[in-house]
Amino acid sequence: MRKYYFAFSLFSLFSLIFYTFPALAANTGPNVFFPETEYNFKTVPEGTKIIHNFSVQNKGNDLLNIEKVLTD
Amino acid sequence: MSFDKTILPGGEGKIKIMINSKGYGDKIFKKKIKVHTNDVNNKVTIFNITGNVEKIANIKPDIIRLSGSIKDDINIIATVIPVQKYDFSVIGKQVKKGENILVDLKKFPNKVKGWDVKVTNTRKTPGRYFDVIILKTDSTIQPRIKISVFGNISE
Repeated sequence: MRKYYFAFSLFSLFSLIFYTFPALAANTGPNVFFPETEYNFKTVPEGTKIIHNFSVQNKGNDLLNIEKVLTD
Repeated sequence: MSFDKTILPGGEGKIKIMINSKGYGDKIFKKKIKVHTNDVNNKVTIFNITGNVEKIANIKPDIIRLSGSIKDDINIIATVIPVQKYDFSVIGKQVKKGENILVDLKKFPNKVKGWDVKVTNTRKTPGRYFDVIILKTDSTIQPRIKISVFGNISE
């Protein structure tokens, strides 16, 4: 129970801080940045295999996780 | 497709995408990639991939349908003409099953570079079948060109 109260009060404290200082909250956590989200491979003959790397940058101050990448 | 699962603060990673243009001949390639992250302000980001895919040959008809009676002589001639830009030669043929068809490959007798692919039905009983003709080429882009054959033979 004591542990729970401690966690709760800690949470409340953080919430209070983030609520009072939004700028601080905005700087917390991972911040993903993609320099490029569009890729056009121009013209290729059918049968060509193309490999392309998209860069991912983390401009935040916490670990950024790429959870999944899905194609349609 | 592969990607870096975690990226340190201030760091950089990559998402590697592999694109196969097979089956997109003379079409515009369009694909969307959805990237899910733990950034609460950017949970999902969409990448758009586009491009033009050109055929290396004009094949007419591109699907062969043999239909008719068992009493008839059923055959179809398809023509294969390489697109000049991707110039190649047909160097051989192969039939996947070969139970119901005969394939004859002939180079055009005139100056135009092209091949006639004569497909003849050999089935003597009513029924349907499917086969694939594989043309071997000296093209590094497409060493094998596949042509589907559908048979529908009646009494």
